[in-house]
Amino acid sequence: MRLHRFASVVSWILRRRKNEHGLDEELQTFVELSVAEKIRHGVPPVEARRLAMLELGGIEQVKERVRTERHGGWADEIARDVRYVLRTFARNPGFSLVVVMTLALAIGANTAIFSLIDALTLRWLPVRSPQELVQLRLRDARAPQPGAESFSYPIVRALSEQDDIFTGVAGFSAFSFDVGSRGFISRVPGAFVSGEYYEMLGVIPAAGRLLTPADDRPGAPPVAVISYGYWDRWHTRSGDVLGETMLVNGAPVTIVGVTARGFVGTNVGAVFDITLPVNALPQVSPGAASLLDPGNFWLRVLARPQPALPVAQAAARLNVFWAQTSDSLIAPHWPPTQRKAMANSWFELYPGGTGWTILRDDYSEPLYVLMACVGLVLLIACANVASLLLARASVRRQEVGIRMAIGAGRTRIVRQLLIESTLLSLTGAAVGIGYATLSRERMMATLAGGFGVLALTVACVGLYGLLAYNVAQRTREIGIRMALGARPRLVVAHILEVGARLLLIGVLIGLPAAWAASRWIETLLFGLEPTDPAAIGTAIVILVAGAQVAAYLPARRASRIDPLMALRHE
Amino acid sequence: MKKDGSGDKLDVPQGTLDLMILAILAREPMHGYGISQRLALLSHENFRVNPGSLFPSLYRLEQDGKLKAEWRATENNRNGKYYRLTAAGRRQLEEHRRRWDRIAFAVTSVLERA
Repeated sequence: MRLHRFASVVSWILRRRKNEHGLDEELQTFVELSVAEKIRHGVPPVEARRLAMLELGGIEQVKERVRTERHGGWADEIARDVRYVLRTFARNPGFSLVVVMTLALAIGANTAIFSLIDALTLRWLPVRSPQELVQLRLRDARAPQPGAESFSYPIVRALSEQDDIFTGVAGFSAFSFDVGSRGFISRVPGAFVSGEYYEMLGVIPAAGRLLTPADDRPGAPPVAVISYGYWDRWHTRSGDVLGETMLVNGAPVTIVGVTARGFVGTNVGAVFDITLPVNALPQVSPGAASLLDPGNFWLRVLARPQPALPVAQAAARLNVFWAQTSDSLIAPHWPPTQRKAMANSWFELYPGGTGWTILRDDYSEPLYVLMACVGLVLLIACANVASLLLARASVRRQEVGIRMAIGAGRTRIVRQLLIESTLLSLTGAAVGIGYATLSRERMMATLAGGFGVLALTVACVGLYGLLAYNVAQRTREIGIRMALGARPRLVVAHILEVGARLLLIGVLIGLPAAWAASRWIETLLFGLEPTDPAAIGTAIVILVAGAQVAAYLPARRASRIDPLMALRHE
Repeated sequence: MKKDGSGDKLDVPQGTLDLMILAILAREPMHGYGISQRLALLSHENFRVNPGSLFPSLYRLEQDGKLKAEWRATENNRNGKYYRLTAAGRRQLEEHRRRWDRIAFAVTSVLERA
């Protein structure tokens, strides 16, 4: 019933033009029939028509009542308001542009940084109960936190035998493979994984089977699992692919299965299109066969602790295991000091449910700092927009007064203003998200510098907007000044002075704030003393230059005000 | 247009216009002018609904699926929009008729015995 009504409202809106036309014709017929009837009763034709029109009470009024009383009438009204608001934007494009750009910059930066944080640290792997997974690290007493992430294959094997600690342990390392025969080779991203990898993660095959510990034994026939995406692109999701042999680095490998859709491995940002068991190394990459030796640390490790075993206890048991077995697992040919350092290292468990990435250690903390900063920029942008809207509201007092005088209701006006700000912010968000997607690839490299530019831009846009409104509001006053003989140059100087005063206040507040903030980010700005006078000096010079440009545009506009026009204004 | 000189027309009581439109259309499909004429006639000229009330009701009923309309030539050969009852409209008519009967009965009872 509800659905039916909704559908009828929608179809009504879609067929509006046709309905409007039908209503016109229907009312015409009504009048004609009424006139004919009256003439039949002996009323003179002219009088009959007059009476009929009188009875109707005005075609437009009837149409208006039909429009507002039917369901969905509100949609029409809102559409009308939206059109009105768009017209006011078009009349004053500078204002709309400034607001949209301010919001777009701030929203874009927030979106870009948040999506990086999301990808890097927040998104769970598409595996069974990812929140249970831990990442293993081995910490050397001399090395800083958080410890080494790579392990040798013998250590991974020994770990996977610790059934009282883990239900499963997976070692993995990304590789790229040359797939195909001579002349048809393509490079495919993939990984070597230990035998328990898929069982531990709980990934479900989309076809065939996934790798098992039996596949990861010395001398086992080399087999491979491909990703759903690879299956889709290269094998059109055909079941024939199972059991097929493909050449990986020239070695024949049998495809045994396809991973579930959505699972692309455990490295954030990378794709494992082909996974091979570690023991396939000698056949597939003979040159790298020594990776199986105890001296090579190349596998990241994710593990699933026994249910009901607290992480701290798992770590404690792990270190007992390490104390007992490290001697046999550390490469015998290492120098004694290195052997000793490794034996004295201890395991630490970190949350592993979001997968592994080299970027996380390096970037997650700066990213959170940046997130806080762009959040601040968004606040500033909002304050800018709010002050712009306020300035505009005072200019528009007259317009609103006139509209209320000719019968626009208070709700109507409020609704229009709300639609106006909604449209502005939606456009800002759309542009911002577009800009975020564009800039994301290059984001990492230019993050820090880009951020400074961004903050400066938003600040300048705000200053520009404020001064532009200042000038617009004072058009009359400036006109009078000029009529009384003020030189354009003086007017420019005056407006620049207003801008400079704001700037001075900003710098006075900003300097101590910057000094305080620098204590906090001290660790993050590489190769730069945060209180480096040269850096701060440069920043101030750039800021002042930017602000001057922002202030000059409105100032120039002020100087070009025609006194006569200005006095006639309003 | 007054027939018996009994004074002003009555306002159609709130909520009964839809019921009367449905009842009139239950006999045969009709256009807007026909409905208004029929309403005047059947109410002994007590009700004279103006187009500003009639058409919004017709459009709402149509939009709700109680009425369906089609365009046909009228008696004097104009293009007329003829409304007819749908099954849903017929159900609504029965339901509202029962309710109206109860209201009329209740009001009359009170007035007679008070």
